[in-house]
Amino acid sequence: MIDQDLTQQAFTTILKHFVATGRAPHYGELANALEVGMEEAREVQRAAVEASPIASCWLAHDTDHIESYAPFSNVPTQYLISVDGTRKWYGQCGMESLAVRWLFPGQEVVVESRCLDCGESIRVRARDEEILEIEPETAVGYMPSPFAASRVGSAAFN
Amino acid sequence: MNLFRSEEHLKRWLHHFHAVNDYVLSVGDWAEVFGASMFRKRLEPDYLARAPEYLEDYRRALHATGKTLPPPDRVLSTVMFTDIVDSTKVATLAGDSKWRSLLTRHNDISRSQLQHFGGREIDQIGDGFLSTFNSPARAIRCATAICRAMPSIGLQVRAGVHSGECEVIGDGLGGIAVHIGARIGALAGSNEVLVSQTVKDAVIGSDISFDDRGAHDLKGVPGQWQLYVVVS
Repeated sequence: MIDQDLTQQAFTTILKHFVATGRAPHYGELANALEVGMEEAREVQRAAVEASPIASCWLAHDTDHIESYAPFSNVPTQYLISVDGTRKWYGQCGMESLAVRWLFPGQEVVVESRCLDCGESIRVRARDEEILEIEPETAVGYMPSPFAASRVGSAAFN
Repeated sequence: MNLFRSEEHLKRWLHHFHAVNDYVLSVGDWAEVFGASMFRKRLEPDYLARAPEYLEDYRRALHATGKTLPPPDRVLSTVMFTDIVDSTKVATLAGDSKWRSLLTRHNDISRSQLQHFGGREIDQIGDGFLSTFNSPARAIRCATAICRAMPSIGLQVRAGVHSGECEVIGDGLGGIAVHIGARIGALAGSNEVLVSQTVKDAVIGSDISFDDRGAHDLKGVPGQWQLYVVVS
């Protein structure tokens, strides 16, 4: 049984690692950061992933490697994130990309993506509360209801 | 959860099944929704403990936007049924604890493949899934991938795929096309993907090939149905 405090520490550590490096830590790095053994790190990583609300984090199939950890993705997506001019992160999805700004207080976060219909660019620039630019201004986001009964607990709706 | 240059672009793309209450908002409105505490407070030291409260905030923020898609009456969709072969026998041999663990792994594998191939989980039925796709070829590839993956955990799965108009019932799906898909799935053998003539015709030009399994009666469905098994 994994301790809840340790699960919370792992959750935060993984997110901070993403913020600092643009990628998820390996569980070996997590073991080092949390000062626990490798096996315990794997278990606590799983616990942290499973504890995430509405299945917003998941591991790559049949592995102990983080694939997606809201609001970031550990594999390339069409949501390219730059912070103060440095492009280093991938957003998990279009909407979660809009939540990346909360992890970089006071910094300018730019989300660059492509319209799924025509392939033309979509760009959102934000700093904290303020949305500085949406290009084009008509841009919309489509999301299946995360609270639909068939989707709760499933990563599939992402 | 995707972005489009305008609602017109979304409408062109959204020709496939969508569920009642799916959300379409301007990016500015989404930015506001994703300002809810669930997203803003991720680095707080008690985030997980407070997740239920944050989740409720998010639900409220989403509902407050009020802009959801209208319910379509009927949609053209490809349904895929998967089911574990001899599940009772396997469960008995495995014992309750191991069976639960097997089911969890089965569900993880199925959901991972659904995600990979762009399917949507509609329901868990017995020891399997009812899922939909906007492409019959992707449904076949997903079913094949699930069938190939399951022996690695000691399970065998059967799958059936059919395309047709379905009724949208809340978050679920109904109508004769769904029943046909279920009947086809029930006729598949271990690790087999069985499809209807409709599906076979729809994927002409793809690299998917089939063997003819002959005409079958599907219980409760009028007429005879030509079925095919996916061979590659």
